[in-house]
Amino acid sequence: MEPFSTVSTKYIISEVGSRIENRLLTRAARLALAVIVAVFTGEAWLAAVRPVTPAEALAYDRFVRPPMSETLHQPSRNPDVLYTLLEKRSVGLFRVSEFSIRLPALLAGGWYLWAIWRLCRRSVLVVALAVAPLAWQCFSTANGLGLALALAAWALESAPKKLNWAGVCLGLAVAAHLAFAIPAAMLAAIVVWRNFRWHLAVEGFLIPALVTSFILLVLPLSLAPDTPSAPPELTSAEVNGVRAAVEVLRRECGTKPIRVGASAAVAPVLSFYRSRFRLASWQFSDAAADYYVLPESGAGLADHGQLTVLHRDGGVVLAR
Amino acid sequence: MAPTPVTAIFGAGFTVAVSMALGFLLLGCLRLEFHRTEAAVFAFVSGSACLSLGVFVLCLVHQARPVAFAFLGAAAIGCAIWQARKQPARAALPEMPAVWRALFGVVFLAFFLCYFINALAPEVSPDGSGYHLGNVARYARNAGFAWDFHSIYASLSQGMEMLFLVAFSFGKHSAAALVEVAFQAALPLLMVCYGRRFGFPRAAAFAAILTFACPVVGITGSSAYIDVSVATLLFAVFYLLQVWDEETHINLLFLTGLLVGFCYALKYTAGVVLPFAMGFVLWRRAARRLPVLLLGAAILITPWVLRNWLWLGNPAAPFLNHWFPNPYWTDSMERSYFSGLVHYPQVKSYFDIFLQLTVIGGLVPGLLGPIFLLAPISLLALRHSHGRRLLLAGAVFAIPALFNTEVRFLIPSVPFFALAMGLALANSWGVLPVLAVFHAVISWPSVLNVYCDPIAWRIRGLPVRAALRLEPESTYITAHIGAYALKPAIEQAVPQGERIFSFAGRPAAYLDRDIIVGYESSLGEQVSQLLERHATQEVKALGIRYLWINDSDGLAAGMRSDPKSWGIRQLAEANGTIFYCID
Repeated sequence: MEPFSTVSTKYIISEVGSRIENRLLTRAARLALAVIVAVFTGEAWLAAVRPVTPAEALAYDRFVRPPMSETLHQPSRNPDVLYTLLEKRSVGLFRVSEFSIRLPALLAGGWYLWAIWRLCRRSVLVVALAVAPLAWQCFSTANGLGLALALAAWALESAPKKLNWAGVCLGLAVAAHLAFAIPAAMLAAIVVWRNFRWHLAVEGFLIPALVTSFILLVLPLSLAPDTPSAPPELTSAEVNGVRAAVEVLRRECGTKPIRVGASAAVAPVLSFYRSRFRLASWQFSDAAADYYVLPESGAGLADHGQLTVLHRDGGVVLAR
Repeated sequence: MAPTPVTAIFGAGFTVAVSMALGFLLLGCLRLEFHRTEAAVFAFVSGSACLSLGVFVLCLVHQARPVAFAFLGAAAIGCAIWQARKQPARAALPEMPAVWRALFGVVFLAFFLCYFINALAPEVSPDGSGYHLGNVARYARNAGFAWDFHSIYASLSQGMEMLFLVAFSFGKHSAAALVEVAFQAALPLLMVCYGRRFGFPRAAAFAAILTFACPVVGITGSSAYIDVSVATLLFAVFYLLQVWDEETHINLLFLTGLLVGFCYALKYTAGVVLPFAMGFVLWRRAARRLPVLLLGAAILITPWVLRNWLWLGNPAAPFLNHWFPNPYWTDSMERSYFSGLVHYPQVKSYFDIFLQLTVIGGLVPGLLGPIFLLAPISLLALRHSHGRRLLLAGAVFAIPALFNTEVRFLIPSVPFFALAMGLALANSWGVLPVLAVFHAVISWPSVLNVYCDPIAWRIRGLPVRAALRLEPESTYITAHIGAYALKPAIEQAVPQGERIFSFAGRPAAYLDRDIIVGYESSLGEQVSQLLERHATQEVKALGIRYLWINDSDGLAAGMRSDPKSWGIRQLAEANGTIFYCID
C-alpha cells in the first residue's frame, strides 16, 4: 500500500497543476498574463534607456560606491538599505550602468508580478495591479520602493498559511524602503487582526518582521546624522548636460589623470558617470581643478573667475 | 623576574586551579549534588570566595607571599584530588540541541581566544593599570595590606584583588587579567547550565552568546577589572536561589550566602544582591532559614567591614563619611565624587543615551552592542515564571547603573535581560540563531571598528605579538598609556618610599612609588589646594617632593612657563606629561 504522505502529495500536485492549467485556459487570464509580460518588458526597457536621475546618482555616490564602512557614516540617512545592498551586489557583478543600478528593482518587479498573479483570483485585478506601478516607475528606478512593494505582495500572499515567511517579507519591505514602514504597519495590523492568537500573531509574525527589519536597519539608522544634508537636485535636462559634458571631456582627456571641479549638485551625477565610464584617474577637487563641470544657472560659474567654456548643454557648462 | 606568557598563564591557571580545588572541597563538605558541568563552575566561583578569604587573612598577617600561595594552594589541590577519588561520577545535564551546541561552541571558542590574547598582552586598561593592580602591586611589595597608604580605591572592598594577588605573585599583571577571563568564561557556561537545568537550553545558549560576545563584557573581562566577575557571581547567586527553590536543601542557602558575601567583597555595588536574596527567601516562605543565608554572607562581608572600621574608622569607606567622619576622605569630597558620576556627559536626549549605551559608546564609555536595542522585547518574557524572575533580577542588579553612568555598571544585568530576551523570542522560528550570529558578527573587534565611536572603550584587535612578548612590553604599554614613558625617569629620580603627587590617575601598577592623586584622598585634596595657591614649599612640608602634571591640568601652563617662580624643577617630559621636583 502506498504511504499516506505520497498519496496526499500526488493529490496536492495534481490539484494545483490542474488549477493553473484551468486558469490559463480562460481568455481573461491569458490577457492578464500578456499584460504582465508587457509590463515587465516595458519596465526593463525603461530601466535600460532612462538616464540616471539625480536621486539615483546621489544614492549611488553615498551608499553604493563607497566601501561598507563608509556607507554608515554618510551625511544623510539611507532610506533604501536593503535596496542599496542589492544594488552594490548588482554593480559588483555587472559593472556600473543605468541598467545595473536598476536591476534589483526590475527583478523585484518580476517578483511583484508573480506575486499578484498568485494572489488575485480575478484577472481584471491582476491587470490593474500590474499596470498601477508603471505610474510610479518604481520597477525601473533605482530605489527601494519597488522592492518593498514586491515584498509586501509576497507577505500578503504568504499570510495566513506561512506567517513566519510573511513576517520576514514585511520586515524586508521596511528595510528596502523606510517610508514603507507605515503601510507595512497597517498591513501587519490587518494580518494580526485576522490571526489574533499569541503564537501566530506575535511569535509567528510580528517578531520575525521586527527582527528582520532590525537586523538590516539598526546600524544605518543608529548612525544616521541628526541633521541630514543633501545637495540641491539637478533637473533631468541638467543631468543630460552633465553626461554630455563627461563625454566631451572623455574625448578630450581620455583616461589621463585630471582634476575635475564640480558644484555640490553636479558632483553625485558626475561621480556616477565617472564610475560608469571607468574613469578612475579623474580626481574630484574642491580647490583648483583642471576642468570644471558647473550648472550654468547657479552662481558656480561666476565663483570660478576666468574660465574658458569648452562645452555647454542642458544648462551645464564644461569649462577649463 | 620579567613576566612571560608562560608565567602569566601559570599564575592564572594556578589561581583558578586552587579556586576549583577549594570549591570542590566546599561542595563536598556541604554535601551538595550538582550536575557535572554546573558542579565545576560552582566549584570555581565558590572556591574563589574561599581563596579570597584565605588571601585576606594572609594579607592581614603580612604573609601574602608566593611561597605561601604555592604551598597552601598545592595542599588544597592535593586534598581536592584525594576527595575526588571517593566521589561517584556526576550525572550530566539534559542535552542542548546539536545546532546550538555547535553555534555556541564556535562563538565561545572564537571570542575566548580573542579575550585570552588581549588579557595576555600587557595590562593597559585605565583602572586595571591604575588602582586595581596598583593596590595588588602594593600588597605584593608589602606581603600584605599597606596601612600607611590612603586612597578611596584602597579602601573599597577588594575580594577580587585578593585573587589577583595570587596570580600576580607568579605571573604579574597579565596573570591577574587572565583570572578575570576565567570568570568571564564561567558566566556563559553558567547561563547554559541554567537553561539546560530549567528546560530552555536554546534561549540560554542564545543569551550566553549575547552576553559573552557583548563588547563591553569583552574589554572589561579581558582587563584587570572586576565587573565581569561581579556579573558571574550575581548570576551564580540567582542560579543557586532557583536551585534551592526546587530542592530546598538548607546547605544550598549557606552556599548562596557565601556567594552573596563574596559579591559584596568584590564590589560594594554588588551588595544589592543581599536584599534580593533575602527577599527571595522570604517570598518563598522560608523566613526561618534566613539566618543560614545571612551567616554565609557574614563570613565574607565582615572581614572587609572590620578592616575598614579598624583601619579608617569608617566600615563603609570611602562612602558614608557623613555618618563616619574620618581624616582620610571627607563628606564634601564624597558628594562631589558622586555628582561627577551620575550625569551622562554631552548627551542630548534619552534616545541618545540608549544609542550611546548600545551602538556608539564614545561618551559612556563602551557599548553593549546594537542587539540590546531589542531589550524591551524581553518584557514578553513576563508570560513565563522564569522570565518574571529574570527581569526582576536584571532590574535590581541594574540599580547601581543609576549612580554611575559608565556602561560597565550595566554588565551585571546583561545576562538576565539576555535570558529574558531568549525566552521571549524562543518560540519564533529561526529568530534566536539569526540574532545570535548577527550579534557575534557585529561584536567582533574588526567589525566594531567600523561603526562605533573611535574613542569607545573596546577590544580593538588581537595583539598577538604583545601577548607573546615578541613586542617589548614597555613599547606596548607606552603606546597605550603615554605617562608610562616617564617610568625610567621616576625610578631614577625618586628614592624608594618617596611619594609623588598627581592631579590625574596614573598607571600605579607599574610603579613602585606611591602616587597621591588629587581627588582620591584628603591629603590629595589638600595638596591640590596648596598648589592652587602656588604654595609648593608647604606641599614639600607634607612629605611630597615630586609633581606629575599633565598638559591638560589647570596649572600646567603656569608651571611650564615659569617653573622657578613655583620653586620647581622639570626632571622629565613625555607624551604631554611632565615630571617636576620641588626644590
